[in-house]
Amino acid sequence: MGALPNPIDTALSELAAHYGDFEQNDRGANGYLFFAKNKVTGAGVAIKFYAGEQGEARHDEPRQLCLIKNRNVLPILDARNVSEEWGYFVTPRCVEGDLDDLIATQPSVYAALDVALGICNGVSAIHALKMLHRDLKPGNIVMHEGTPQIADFGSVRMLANGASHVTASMHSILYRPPESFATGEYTAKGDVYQIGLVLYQLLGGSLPYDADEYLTAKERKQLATLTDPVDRTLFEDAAIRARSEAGDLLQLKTLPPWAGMARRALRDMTCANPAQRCGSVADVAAVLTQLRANMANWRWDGDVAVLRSDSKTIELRPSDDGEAFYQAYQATSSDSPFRRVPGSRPGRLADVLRAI
Amino acid sequence: MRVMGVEFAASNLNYVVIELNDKNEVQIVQSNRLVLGDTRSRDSLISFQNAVSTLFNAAAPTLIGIKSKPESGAMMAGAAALKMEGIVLANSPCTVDFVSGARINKCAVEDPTLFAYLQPALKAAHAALAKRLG
Repeated sequence: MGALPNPIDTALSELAAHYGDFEQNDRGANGYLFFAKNKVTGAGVAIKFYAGEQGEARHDEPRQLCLIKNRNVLPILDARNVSEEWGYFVTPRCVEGDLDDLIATQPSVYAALDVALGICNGVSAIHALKMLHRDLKPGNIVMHEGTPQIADFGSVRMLANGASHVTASMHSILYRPPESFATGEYTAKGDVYQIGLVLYQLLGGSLPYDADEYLTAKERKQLATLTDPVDRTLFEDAAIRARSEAGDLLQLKTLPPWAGMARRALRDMTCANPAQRCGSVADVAAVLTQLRANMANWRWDGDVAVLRSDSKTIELRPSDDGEAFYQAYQATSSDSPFRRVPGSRPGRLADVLRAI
Repeated sequence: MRVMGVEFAASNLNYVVIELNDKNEVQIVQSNRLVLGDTRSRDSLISFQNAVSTLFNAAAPTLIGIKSKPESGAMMAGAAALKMEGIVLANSPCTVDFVSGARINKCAVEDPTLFAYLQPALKAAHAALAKRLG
Protein backbone atom coordinates (compact mmCIF):
# COMPACT_ATOMS: atom_id res chain seq x y z
CA MET A 1 0.00 0.00 0.00
CA GLY A 2 1.25 3.52 -0.82
CA ALA A 3 1.74 6.31 1.69
CA LEU A 4 -1.50 6.81 3.54
CA PRO A 5 -2.58 9.51 5.99
CA ASN A 6 -1.74 8.45 9.54
CA PRO A 7 -5.34 8.06 10.79
CA ILE A 8 -6.05 5.65 7.92
CA ASP A 9 -2.92 3.62 8.67
CA THR A 10 -4.00 3.36 12.30
CA ALA A 11 -7.57 2.44 11.38
CA LEU A 12 -6.37 -0.27 8.98
CA SER A 13 -4.20 -1.77 11.75
CA GLU A 14 -7.29 -1.95 13.99
CA LEU A 15 -9.43 -3.32 11.16
CA ALA A 16 -6.85 -6.07 10.62
CA ALA A 17 -8.22 -7.77 13.75
CA HIS A 18 -11.50 -8.39 11.91
CA TYR A 19 -10.54 -8.31 8.22
CA GLY A 20 -7.73 -9.82 6.15
CA ASP A 21 -6.47 -9.92 2.55
CA PHE A 22 -6.48 -6.12 2.17
CA GLU A 23 -6.15 -4.76 -1.36
CA GLN A 24 -6.06 -1.06 -2.18
CA ASN A 25 -8.14 -0.01 -5.17
CA ASP A 26 -7.54 3.13 -7.18
CA ARG A 27 -11.22 3.69 -8.06
CA GLY A 28 -11.95 5.37 -4.72
CA ALA A 29 -12.32 8.96 -5.89
CA ASN A 30 -12.45 11.52 -3.07
CA GLY A 31 -10.87 9.10 -0.60
CA TYR A 32 -9.22 5.71 -0.31
CA LEU A 33 -10.88 2.42 -1.16
CA PHE A 34 -9.81 -1.00 0.12
CA PHE A 35 -11.14 -4.47 -0.48
CA ALA A 36 -10.85 -7.01 2.34
CA LYS A 37 -12.30 -10.26 3.63
CA ASN A 38 -14.17 -10.67 6.92
CA LYS A 39 -12.16 -13.10 9.04
CA VAL A 40 -15.30 -14.65 10.59
CA THR A 41 -17.78 -14.86 7.71
CA GLY A 42 -15.31 -14.86 4.83
CA ALA A 43 -17.47 -12.24 3.09
CA GLY A 44 -15.72 -9.75 0.83
CA VAL A 45 -16.16 -6.11 1.80
CA ALA A 46 -15.22 -2.69 0.45
CA ILE A 47 -13.94 -0.16 2.98
CA LYS A 48 -14.09 3.45 1.87
CA PHE A 49 -12.20 6.15 3.77
CA TYR A 50 -13.52 9.64 3.14
CA ALA A 51 -12.53 13.09 4.34
CA GLY A 52 -15.53 15.11 3.24
CA GLU A 53 -16.38 18.59 4.42
CA GLN A 54 -15.93 19.73 7.95
CA GLY A 55 -18.91 19.87 10.26
CA GLU A 56 -22.26 18.13 10.10
CA ALA A 57 -22.12 17.42 6.35
CA ARG A 58 -18.98 15.29 6.71
CA HIS A 59 -20.83 12.04 7.25
CA ASP A 60 -23.53 12.72 4.63
CA GLU A 61 -22.48 9.88 2.33
CA PRO A 62 -22.81 6.97 4.82
CA ARG A 63 -25.86 8.58 6.44
CA GLN A 64 -27.66 8.84 3.14
CA LEU A 65 -26.67 5.32 2.13
CA CYS A 66 -28.06 4.09 5.45
CA LEU A 67 -31.41 5.81 4.97
CA ILE A 68 -32.19 4.07 1.71
CA LYS A 69 -33.36 0.49 1.89
CA ASN A 70 -33.64 -0.70 -1.68
CA ARG A 71 -32.26 -3.72 -3.52
CA ASN A 72 -30.73 -1.38 -6.13
CA VAL A 73 -28.82 0.73 -3.64
CA LEU A 74 -25.60 -0.60 -2.10
CA PRO A 75 -26.24 -1.44 1.57
CA ILE A 76 -23.94 -0.12 4.29
CA LEU A 77 -22.63 -2.63 6.85
CA ASP A 78 -20.74 -0.38 9.26
CA ALA A 79 -19.40 3.17 9.59
CA ARG A 80 -16.80 4.68 11.96
CA ASN A 81 -15.12 7.99 12.64
CA VAL A 82 -11.32 7.58 12.80
CA SER A 83 -10.11 11.15 13.28
CA GLU A 84 -11.20 14.77 13.09
CA GLU A 85 -10.70 14.54 9.34
CA TRP A 86 -11.29 10.94 8.31
CA GLY A 87 -14.10 8.41 8.58
CA TYR A 88 -14.87 5.15 6.80
CA PHE A 89 -17.81 2.97 5.91
CA VAL A 90 -18.03 -0.68 4.94
CA THR A 91 -20.17 -2.13 2.14
CA PRO A 92 -20.30 -5.54 0.48
CA ARG A 93 -17.60 -6.02 -2.14
CA CYS A 94 -19.07 -6.22 -5.62
CA VAL A 95 -16.73 -8.56 -7.46
CA GLU A 96 -18.66 -8.22 -10.71
CA GLY A 97 -17.33 -4.67 -11.09
CA ASP A 98 -19.21 -1.62 -12.21
CA LEU A 99 -21.30 -0.80 -15.27
CA ASP A 100 -18.21 0.22 -17.25
CA ASP A 101 -17.10 -3.41 -16.93
CA LEU A 102 -20.56 -4.61 -17.97
CA ILE A 103 -20.70 -2.22 -20.93
CA ALA A 104 -17.34 -3.58 -22.10
CA THR A 105 -18.95 -7.04 -22.40
CA GLN A 106 -21.59 -5.66 -24.83
CA PRO A 107 -24.68 -6.81 -22.89
CA SER A 108 -27.78 -8.03 -24.68
CA VAL A 109 -30.76 -5.73 -25.22
CA TYR A 110 -32.70 -7.31 -22.34
CA ALA A 111 -29.70 -7.19 -20.00
CA ALA A 112 -29.30 -3.48 -20.80
CA LEU A 113 -33.00 -2.73 -20.19
CA ASP A 114 -33.06 -4.83 -16.99
CA VAL A 115 -30.09 -2.94 -15.58
CA ALA A 116 -31.70 0.39 -16.50
CA LEU A 117 -34.93 -0.66 -14.74
CA GLY A 118 -32.91 -1.59 -11.64
CA ILE A 119 -31.29 1.85 -11.70
CA CYS A 120 -34.75 3.45 -11.98
CA ASN A 121 -35.81 1.54 -8.87
CA GLY A 122 -32.78 2.70 -6.89
CA VAL A 123 -33.14 6.31 -8.07
CA SER A 124 -36.86 6.34 -7.24
CA ALA A 125 -36.00 5.31 -3.67
CA ILE A 126 -33.53 8.21 -3.48
CA HIS A 127 -36.11 10.65 -4.89
CA ALA A 128 -38.75 9.36 -2.46
CA LEU A 129 -36.54 10.67 0.36
CA LYS A 130 -36.36 14.09 -1.34
CA MET A 131 -32.77 13.54 -2.42
CA LEU A 132 -31.14 13.86 -5.83
CA HIS A 133 -28.16 11.73 -6.82
CA ARG A 134 -26.50 14.17 -9.29
CA ASP A 135 -23.73 11.78 -10.37
CA LEU A 136 -25.28 8.71 -11.99
CA LYS A 137 -22.75 7.22 -14.37
CA PRO A 138 -21.47 3.70 -15.10
CA GLY A 139 -18.53 4.05 -12.70
CA ASN A 140 -20.90 4.81 -9.81
CA ILE A 141 -23.16 1.79 -10.32
CA VAL A 142 -21.84 -1.62 -9.31
CA MET A 143 -23.12 -5.09 -10.14
CA HIS A 144 -23.77 -7.42 -7.22
CA GLU A 145 -25.09 -10.93 -7.89
CA GLY A 146 -26.47 -9.73 -11.22
CA THR A 147 -28.25 -6.75 -9.69
CA PRO A 148 -27.22 -3.15 -10.38
CA GLN A 149 -26.65 -1.14 -7.21
CA ILE A 150 -26.11 2.59 -6.96
CA ALA A 151 -22.90 2.93 -4.99
CA ASP A 152 -21.48 6.42 -4.83
CA PHE A 153 -23.37 8.90 -2.66
CA GLY A 154 -20.70 11.58 -2.50
CA SER A 155 -22.77 13.90 -4.72
CA VAL A 156 -26.22 13.24 -3.26
CA ARG A 157 -27.99 16.35 -1.99
CA MET A 158 -31.19 16.74 -0.01
CA LEU A 159 -33.89 19.05 -1.44
CA ALA A 160 -34.80 21.88 0.90
CA ASN A 161 -38.43 21.98 2.03
CA GLY A 162 -40.63 22.82 -0.96
CA ALA A 163 -37.65 23.20 -3.31
CA SER A 164 -37.38 21.33 -6.60
CA HIS A 165 -33.69 21.91 -7.26
CA VAL A 166 -30.26 21.81 -5.64
CA THR A 167 -26.94 23.21 -6.82
CA ALA A 168 -25.55 21.30 -9.82
CA SER A 169 -22.59 19.01 -9.16
CA MET A 170 -19.29 19.95 -10.80
CA HIS A 171 -18.34 16.26 -11.16
CA SER A 172 -18.38 14.31 -14.43
CA ILE A 173 -18.99 17.03 -17.00
CA LEU A 174 -19.92 14.39 -19.59
CA TYR A 175 -22.99 13.43 -17.56
CA ARG A 176 -24.04 16.92 -16.49
CA PRO A 177 -27.58 17.74 -17.63
CA PRO A 178 -27.37 20.47 -20.30
CA GLU A 179 -29.66 22.89 -18.46
CA SER A 180 -27.44 22.83 -15.37
CA PHE A 181 -24.55 24.58 -17.14
CA ALA A 182 -26.46 27.84 -17.53
CA THR A 183 -28.61 27.71 -14.40
CA GLY A 184 -26.20 26.00 -12.00
CA GLU A 185 -29.30 24.14 -10.78
CA TYR A 186 -30.09 20.44 -10.74
CA THR A 187 -33.57 18.88 -10.57
CA ALA A 188 -34.95 15.32 -10.55
CA LYS A 189 -34.96 15.56 -14.36
CA GLY A 190 -31.17 15.72 -14.18
CA ASP A 191 -31.15 12.19 -12.77
CA VAL A 192 -33.54 11.16 -15.59
CA TYR A 193 -31.05 12.60 -18.10
CA GLN A 194 -28.18 10.65 -16.55
CA ILE A 195 -30.17 7.37 -16.59
CA GLY A 196 -30.76 8.05 -20.29
CA LEU A 197 -27.03 8.42 -20.94
CA VAL A 198 -26.27 5.20 -19.04
CA LEU A 199 -28.97 3.32 -20.99
CA TYR A 200 -27.52 4.67 -24.25
CA GLN A 201 -24.12 3.22 -23.29
CA LEU A 202 -25.62 -0.08 -22.16
CA LEU A 203 -27.36 -0.46 -25.52
CA GLY A 204 -24.05 0.01 -27.32
CA GLY A 205 -23.99 3.76 -27.97
CA SER A 206 -20.59 5.43 -28.07
CA LEU A 207 -19.78 7.97 -25.34
CA PRO A 208 -15.97 8.28 -25.28
CA TYR A 209 -14.35 9.23 -21.97
CA ASP A 210 -11.47 10.92 -23.79
CA ALA A 211 -12.40 14.61 -24.09
CA ASP A 212 -10.36 14.86 -27.28
CA GLU A 213 -13.03 12.81 -29.07
CA TYR A 214 -15.50 15.69 -28.71
CA LEU A 215 -13.31 18.26 -30.41
CA THR A 216 -13.55 19.32 -34.02
CA ALA A 217 -10.37 19.51 -36.11
CA LYS A 218 -10.33 23.27 -35.60
CA GLU A 219 -10.74 22.90 -31.85
CA ARG A 220 -7.89 20.37 -31.73
CA LYS A 221 -5.63 22.91 -33.40
CA GLN A 222 -6.68 25.53 -30.84
CA LEU A 223 -6.08 23.06 -28.03
CA ALA A 224 -2.57 22.35 -29.34
CA THR A 225 -1.67 26.01 -28.76
CA LEU A 226 -2.53 25.74 -25.03
CA THR A 227 0.20 24.57 -22.70
CA ASP A 228 -1.29 25.15 -19.24
CA PRO A 229 -3.08 21.92 -18.16
CA VAL A 230 -5.84 23.96 -16.48
CA ASP A 231 -6.45 25.96 -19.66
CA ARG A 232 -6.54 22.73 -21.67
CA THR A 233 -9.09 21.15 -19.32
CA LEU A 234 -11.26 24.29 -19.37
CA PHE A 235 -11.11 24.32 -23.17
CA GLU A 236 -12.13 20.65 -23.41
CA ASP A 237 -14.92 21.15 -20.86
CA ALA A 238 -16.24 24.10 -22.87
CA ALA A 239 -16.35 21.92 -26.00
CA ILE A 240 -18.27 19.17 -24.16
CA ARG A 241 -20.64 21.75 -22.67
CA ALA A 242 -21.35 23.16 -26.16
CA ARG A 243 -22.10 19.65 -27.49
CA SER A 244 -24.29 18.88 -24.49
CA GLU A 245 -26.27 22.13 -24.67
CA ALA A 246 -26.82 21.62 -28.38
CA GLY A 247 -28.23 18.15 -27.66
CA ASP A 248 -25.39 16.73 -29.72
CA LEU A 249 -23.61 14.52 -27.19
CA LEU A 250 -25.33 11.27 -28.06
CA GLN A 251 -24.54 9.83 -31.46
CA LEU A 252 -27.60 7.63 -31.94
CA LYS A 253 -26.18 6.31 -35.20
CA THR A 254 -23.51 4.48 -33.16
CA LEU A 255 -26.23 2.26 -31.65
CA PRO A 256 -26.59 -1.18 -33.22
CA PRO A 257 -29.44 -1.31 -35.73
CA TRP A 258 -31.64 -3.47 -33.46
CA ALA A 259 -31.76 -0.61 -30.94
CA GLY A 260 -33.81 1.47 -33.38
CA MET A 261 -36.96 1.25 -31.25
CA ALA A 262 -35.07 2.64 -28.25
CA ARG A 263 -33.94 5.78 -30.06
CA ARG A 264 -37.11 7.74 -29.41
CA ALA A 265 -37.04 6.76 -25.74
CA LEU A 266 -33.39 7.84 -25.49
CA ARG A 267 -34.25 11.19 -27.10
CA ASP A 268 -37.11 11.65 -24.62
CA MET A 269 -34.85 10.83 -21.68
CA THR A 270 -31.88 12.96 -22.75
CA CYS A 271 -33.60 15.91 -24.42
CA ALA A 272 -31.54 19.08 -23.84
CA ASN A 273 -34.74 20.93 -22.94
CA PRO A 274 -35.89 19.54 -19.57
CA ALA A 275 -39.48 20.59 -20.28
CA GLN A 276 -39.56 18.05 -23.10
CA ARG A 277 -37.78 15.32 -21.13
CA CYS A 278 -39.52 12.34 -19.44
CA GLY A 279 -41.22 13.74 -16.34
CA SER A 280 -39.99 11.26 -13.73
CA VAL A 281 -38.21 7.96 -13.21
CA ALA A 282 -41.66 6.31 -13.12
CA ASP A 283 -42.23 7.48 -16.70
CA VAL A 284 -38.79 6.18 -17.67
CA ALA A 285 -39.58 2.80 -16.08
CA ALA A 286 -42.88 2.63 -18.00
CA VAL A 287 -41.10 3.28 -21.31
CA LEU A 288 -38.44 0.67 -20.49
CA THR A 289 -41.05 -2.03 -19.83
CA GLN A 290 -42.65 -1.18 -23.19
CA LEU A 291 -39.28 -1.48 -24.94
CA ARG A 292 -38.53 -4.78 -23.21
CA ALA A 293 -41.82 -6.22 -24.39
CA ASN A 294 -41.33 -5.10 -27.97
CA MET A 295 -37.61 -5.40 -28.74
CA ALA A 296 -35.77 -8.56 -29.71
CA ASN A 297 -32.94 -9.70 -27.44
CA TRP A 298 -29.99 -9.22 -29.81
CA ARG A 299 -26.44 -9.10 -28.59
CA TRP A 300 -22.94 -8.95 -30.03
CA ASP A 301 -20.76 -12.02 -29.70
CA GLY A 302 -17.47 -10.70 -31.06
CA ASP A 303 -18.34 -9.42 -34.52
CA VAL A 304 -21.38 -11.71 -34.83
CA ALA A 305 -24.87 -10.46 -33.96
CA VAL A 306 -26.78 -13.20 -32.12
CA LEU A 307 -30.47 -13.67 -31.30
CA ARG A 308 -31.30 -16.74 -29.19
CA SER A 309 -34.80 -17.99 -28.47
CA ASP A 310 -36.17 -21.30 -27.18
CA SER A 311 -36.79 -22.55 -30.71
CA LYS A 312 -33.78 -21.29 -32.66
CA THR A 313 -30.64 -19.19 -32.80
CA ILE A 314 -30.04 -16.63 -35.52
CA GLU A 315 -26.56 -15.30 -36.22
CA LEU A 316 -25.66 -12.44 -38.51
CA ARG A 317 -22.08 -13.13 -39.53
CA PRO A 318 -19.71 -10.89 -41.43
CA SER A 319 -19.90 -11.86 -45.08
CA ASP A 320 -17.15 -12.18 -47.69
CA ASP A 321 -19.40 -10.43 -50.21
CA GLY A 322 -18.43 -6.91 -49.26
CA GLU A 323 -17.14 -4.62 -46.57
CA ALA A 324 -19.50 -4.36 -43.56
CA PHE A 325 -21.82 -6.91 -45.17
CA TYR A 326 -23.57 -9.58 -43.11
CA GLN A 327 -25.23 -12.89 -43.90
CA ALA A 328 -28.00 -14.45 -41.76
CA TYR A 329 -27.65 -18.04 -40.49
CA GLN A 330 -29.92 -20.01 -38.22
CA ALA A 331 -29.88 -23.23 -36.17
CA THR A 332 -33.16 -24.75 -35.05
CA SER A 333 -31.66 -26.55 -32.04
CA SER A 334 -28.47 -26.46 -30.01
CA ASP A 335 -27.01 -29.51 -31.77
CA SER A 336 -28.13 -28.76 -35.31
CA PRO A 337 -25.74 -27.01 -37.72
CA PHE A 338 -26.16 -23.39 -38.76
CA ARG A 339 -27.60 -22.92 -42.25
CA ARG A 340 -28.24 -19.79 -44.25
CA VAL A 341 -31.67 -18.32 -43.55
CA PRO A 342 -33.72 -19.26 -46.65
CA GLY A 343 -34.18 -16.33 -49.04
CA SER A 344 -31.75 -14.08 -47.18
CA ARG A 345 -29.00 -12.21 -49.00
CA PRO A 346 -25.81 -10.62 -47.75
CA GLY A 347 -26.20 -6.94 -47.02
CA ARG A 348 -25.63 -4.19 -44.53
CA LEU A 349 -26.49 -5.20 -40.98
CA ALA A 350 -29.57 -2.98 -40.80
CA ASP A 351 -30.88 -4.33 -44.13
CA VAL A 352 -30.31 -7.99 -43.16
CA LEU A 353 -32.05 -7.38 -39.83
CA ARG A 354 -35.01 -5.82 -41.58
CA ALA A 355 -35.19 -8.68 -44.08
CA ILE A 356 -35.34 -11.43 -41.47
CA MET B 1 -54.66 11.45 -0.08
CA ARG B 2 -53.24 9.73 -3.15
CA VAL B 3 -55.06 6.87 -4.82
CA MET B 4 -53.65 4.73 -7.60
CA GLY B 5 -56.18 3.06 -9.90
CA VAL B 6 -54.93 -0.01 -11.72
CA GLU B 7 -56.38 -2.07 -14.53
CA PHE B 8 -54.74 -5.16 -16.01
CA ALA B 9 -55.50 -5.52 -19.71
CA ALA B 10 -53.73 -8.38 -21.52
CA SER B 11 -50.04 -7.85 -20.68
CA ASN B 12 -50.49 -4.19 -19.74
CA LEU B 13 -50.78 -2.59 -16.34
CA ASN B 14 -52.59 0.70 -16.87
CA TYR B 15 -52.46 3.12 -13.98
CA VAL B 16 -53.78 6.53 -13.01
CA VAL B 17 -52.82 8.31 -9.80
CA ILE B 18 -55.30 10.83 -8.42
CA GLU B 19 -54.91 13.16 -5.47
CA LEU B 20 -57.58 14.53 -3.18
CA ASN B 21 -56.41 17.94 -1.97
CA ASP B 22 -57.42 19.99 1.08
CA LYS B 23 -60.21 21.67 -0.91
CA ASN B 24 -61.75 18.26 -1.66
CA GLU B 25 -60.76 18.56 -5.32
CA VAL B 26 -59.51 15.50 -7.17
CA GLN B 27 -56.75 15.89 -9.71
CA ILE B 28 -54.78 13.47 -11.84
CA VAL B 29 -51.11 13.50 -10.94
CA GLN B 30 -49.72 10.62 -13.02
CA SER B 31 -50.79 8.08 -15.57
CA ASN B 32 -49.02 5.60 -17.80
CA ARG B 33 -48.75 1.95 -18.78
CA LEU B 34 -46.31 -0.79 -17.75
CA VAL B 35 -45.93 -3.87 -19.94
CA LEU B 36 -44.95 -7.40 -18.94
CA GLY B 37 -43.41 -8.90 -22.04
CA ASP B 38 -42.55 -12.43 -20.99
CA THR B 39 -44.42 -14.22 -18.19
CA ARG B 40 -41.99 -17.14 -17.90
CA SER B 41 -38.68 -15.35 -17.74
CA ARG B 42 -37.26 -14.66 -14.28
CA ASP B 43 -35.37 -11.60 -15.55
CA SER B 44 -38.50 -10.22 -17.17
CA LEU B 45 -40.50 -10.62 -13.95
CA ILE B 46 -37.75 -9.04 -11.83
CA SER B 47 -37.59 -6.12 -14.24
CA PHE B 48 -41.33 -5.69 -14.09
CA GLN B 49 -41.12 -5.79 -10.31
CA ASN B 50 -38.48 -3.04 -10.44
CA ALA B 51 -40.80 -0.94 -12.61
CA VAL B 52 -43.67 -1.44 -10.15
CA SER B 53 -41.42 -0.58 -7.21
CA THR B 54 -40.23 2.54 -9.06
CA LEU B 55 -43.83 3.54 -9.65
CA PHE B 56 -44.75 3.08 -5.98
CA ASN B 57 -41.70 5.05 -4.84
CA ALA B 58 -42.49 7.87 -7.27
CA ALA B 59 -46.24 8.02 -6.78
CA ALA B 60 -46.32 7.26 -3.02
CA PRO B 61 -49.98 6.10 -3.06
CA THR B 62 -51.92 5.87 0.19
CA LEU B 63 -54.52 3.57 -1.36
CA ILE B 64 -54.52 1.34 -4.44
CA GLY B 65 -57.71 0.37 -6.27
CA ILE B 66 -57.38 -2.59 -8.62
CA LYS B 67 -60.10 -3.46 -11.10
CA SER B 68 -60.68 -7.08 -10.10
CA LYS B 69 -60.58 -9.92 -12.59
CA PRO B 70 -61.93 -13.43 -12.01
CA GLU B 71 -59.29 -15.98 -11.07
CA SER B 72 -61.34 -18.88 -12.45
CA GLY B 73 -64.13 -19.57 -14.91
CA ALA B 74 -64.59 -18.66 -18.55
CA MET B 75 -63.72 -15.02 -17.95
CA MET B 76 -60.64 -15.72 -15.84
CA ALA B 77 -57.67 -13.41 -16.14
CA GLY B 78 -54.69 -14.45 -18.24
CA ALA B 79 -51.30 -15.50 -16.90
CA ALA B 80 -49.81 -12.05 -17.43
CA ALA B 81 -52.62 -10.31 -15.51
CA LEU B 82 -52.39 -12.72 -12.58
CA LYS B 83 -48.61 -12.45 -12.35
CA MET B 84 -48.73 -8.66 -12.58
CA GLU B 85 -51.39 -8.61 -9.87
CA GLY B 86 -49.18 -10.76 -7.64
CA ILE B 87 -46.23 -8.44 -8.12
CA VAL B 88 -48.35 -5.36 -7.37
CA LEU B 89 -49.75 -6.95 -4.19
CA ALA B 90 -46.34 -8.15 -2.98
CA ASN B 91 -44.77 -4.72 -3.43
CA SER B 92 -47.71 -2.55 -2.41
CA PRO B 93 -46.78 0.09 0.17
CA CYS B 94 -50.42 0.59 1.24
CA THR B 95 -53.89 -0.97 1.41
CA VAL B 96 -55.19 -2.51 -1.80
CA ASP B 97 -58.91 -2.42 -2.57
CA PHE B 98 -60.22 -4.75 -5.29
CA VAL B 99 -62.91 -2.92 -7.23
CA SER B 100 -65.53 -5.09 -8.93
CA GLY B 101 -66.72 -4.51 -12.46
CA ALA B 102 -70.11 -3.47 -11.08
CA ARG B 103 -68.53 -0.75 -8.92
CA ILE B 104 -66.47 0.43 -11.86
CA ASN B 105 -69.59 0.64 -14.03
CA LYS B 106 -71.36 2.72 -11.40
CA CYS B 107 -68.56 5.26 -11.52
CA ALA B 108 -69.43 7.92 -14.07
CA VAL B 109 -66.07 9.70 -13.93
CA GLU B 110 -64.24 10.19 -17.21
CA ASP B 111 -61.40 12.44 -18.20
CA PRO B 112 -61.10 13.37 -21.87
CA THR B 113 -57.44 14.28 -21.42
CA LEU B 114 -56.61 10.63 -20.72
CA PHE B 115 -56.33 7.90 -23.35
CA ALA B 116 -59.39 5.62 -23.56
CA TYR B 117 -57.32 2.68 -22.26
CA LEU B 118 -56.67 4.57 -19.01
CA GLN B 119 -60.35 5.33 -18.22
CA PRO B 120 -60.99 2.03 -16.33
CA ALA B 121 -57.93 2.69 -14.12
CA LEU B 122 -59.24 6.20 -13.44
CA LYS B 123 -62.62 4.75 -12.48
CA ALA B 124 -60.95 2.17 -10.21
CA ALA B 125 -59.10 4.99 -8.44
CA HIS B 126 -62.31 7.03 -7.98
CA ALA B 127 -64.30 3.99 -6.82
CA ALA B 128 -61.62 3.07 -4.24
CA LEU B 129 -61.50 6.69 -3.05
CA ALA B 130 -65.32 6.88 -2.76
CA LYS B 131 -65.38 3.69 -0.68
CA ARG B 132 -62.62 4.96 1.60
CA LEU B 133 -64.44 8.28 2.11
CA GLY B 134 -67.66 6.40 2.76
